[in-house]
Amino acid sequence: MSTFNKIYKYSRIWVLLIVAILLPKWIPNLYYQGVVNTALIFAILSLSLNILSGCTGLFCVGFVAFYGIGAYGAAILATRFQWPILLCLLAGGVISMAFSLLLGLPTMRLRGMYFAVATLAFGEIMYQLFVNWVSVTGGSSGIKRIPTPNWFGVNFRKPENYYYILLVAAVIVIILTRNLINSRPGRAMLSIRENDIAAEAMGVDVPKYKMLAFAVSTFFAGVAGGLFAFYARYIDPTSFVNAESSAILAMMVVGGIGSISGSFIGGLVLSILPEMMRFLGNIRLVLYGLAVVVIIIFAPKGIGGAIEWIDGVLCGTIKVGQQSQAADRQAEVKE
Amino acid sequence: MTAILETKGIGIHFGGLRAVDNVSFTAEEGSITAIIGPNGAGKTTLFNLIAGFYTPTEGSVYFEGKDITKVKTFRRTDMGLTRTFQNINLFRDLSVMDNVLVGLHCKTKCDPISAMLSLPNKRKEEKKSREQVMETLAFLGLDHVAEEKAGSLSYGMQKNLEIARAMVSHPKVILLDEPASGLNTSDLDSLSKRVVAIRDSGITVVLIEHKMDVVMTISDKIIVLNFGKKIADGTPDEVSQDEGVIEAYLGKDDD
Repeated sequence: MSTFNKIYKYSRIWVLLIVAILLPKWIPNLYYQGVVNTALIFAILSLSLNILSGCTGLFCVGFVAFYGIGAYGAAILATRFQWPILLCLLAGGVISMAFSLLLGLPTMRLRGMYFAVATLAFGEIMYQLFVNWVSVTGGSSGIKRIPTPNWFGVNFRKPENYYYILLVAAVIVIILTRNLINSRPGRAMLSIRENDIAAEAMGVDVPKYKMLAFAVSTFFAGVAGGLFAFYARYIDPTSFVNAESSAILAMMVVGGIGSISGSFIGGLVLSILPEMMRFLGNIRLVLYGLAVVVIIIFAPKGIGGAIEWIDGVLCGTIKVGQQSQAADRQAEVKE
Repeated sequence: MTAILETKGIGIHFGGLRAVDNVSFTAEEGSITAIIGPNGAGKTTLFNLIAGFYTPTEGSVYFEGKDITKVKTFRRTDMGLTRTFQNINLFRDLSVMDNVLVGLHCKTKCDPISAMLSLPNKRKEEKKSREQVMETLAFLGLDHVAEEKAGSLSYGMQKNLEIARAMVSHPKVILLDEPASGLNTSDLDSLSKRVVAIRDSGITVVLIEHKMDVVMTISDKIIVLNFGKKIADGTPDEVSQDEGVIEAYLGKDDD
């Protein structure tokens, strides 16, 4: 490990953080600040989904429902019951998690596709609930006048200020996820993705840890929903249509399934990319789709795989060419 | 010596096929018991019944005197009954270290909340676990590849990693499914020594093996299966002179 590697290794996180803190100063106008804020929310969502899919290998195709539940839960508690906003955010997460238990307990024994289909149906059911349960959700006209936080005398109604709430939330979610993955319960989840038969032989209660991953990931999704509600100050069912679930899924896949940095960056990139391509007119949606397909084909480990590789090279833990050594050994095994 | 693991008239049939039929055997505490038999004799199926992957259609399994026939697989692991797989079942994309750490799952307690908040109890347990894993890896000669991905190891190393993962929790009984298959002669020798060392550390070993020289030198007791039925049971000497066994392996003399 050279001196450069060492400097890089210890400074990378701080440089990133400083850039993230200074970012609003470089953003030219409110429109782009809005894009960045939304991107942060979706990055948190993509990361949350990754806890379920990346760790246990279960795919949730109706993930936006949990985001919606969190948003509605937090908004209702804040507007009707005047709960403090921080409490509403956490409660949104808890309510979302409670729904995941409701869906998960009967469906956790389903494998792969069947679980995905169950979540797809759940996403649709929740959307219908948001639209039709008018007395609670306000139906199509949604919930208006959601308060914005006013902490430490800062007015978070301004998008450039709200950005910092989102940034703090993102950092917390990243740290908690990282800690979880590098721990006994996190490894139990990863082992299920890798080989559920061996996981069970090692004493892992497979349905329990699948449920745990689902609960944690929907908790974060619920919190993200609350963050959206207090940011937008108005929510209606159109933000929670099931098509958004595929967008979140695409972010996670493009970012790299199983990679924390990847899924987070995937969320950022796929939220910002369509906005950057606006000058192309309607063809941008085609190009966006094409970009997703190209990334999946040529970089199956996603952006995250590439980032981790570059990071490893800069840290000196991966030497260029090492990949082929591993491949050689693999070939030996096959012989 | 007392029997730590025992099957009583255990059997399973898949449709009309009796894969394991009325097999009773005991494994004494602190011994090496080998299960041998021609291909398709039902050895791995018997392991799957003992480990709880299959539910027997008849008979029962006893572990430390308790009937565990209806106990789930992961609970059996908690009780101290672990296994390896014939067709390597590693967590290929995880590091060697993480693979073996999962093996410690049943002996550690860390809950998700203290994991996420990285509370002191988590960090303490994590540190202890890693030390324990390194010891086991050193025992199996894998300590220098601790950070490599399991899938990138050579075949022999992967076989050893399976054993490391199953023995790191210091189980009471370890079931080894063909640990010697695919190993070269020098690896075979160190494998035999390791299996004996595992027994000497107080873990009861039950193994399936085809390599007769390995089985004959290390086993305290041999069970012979053929077509799902037990045809012989005894010390290596007794079994190698048993006519039924010779017939099963070499065929019947028609003269």
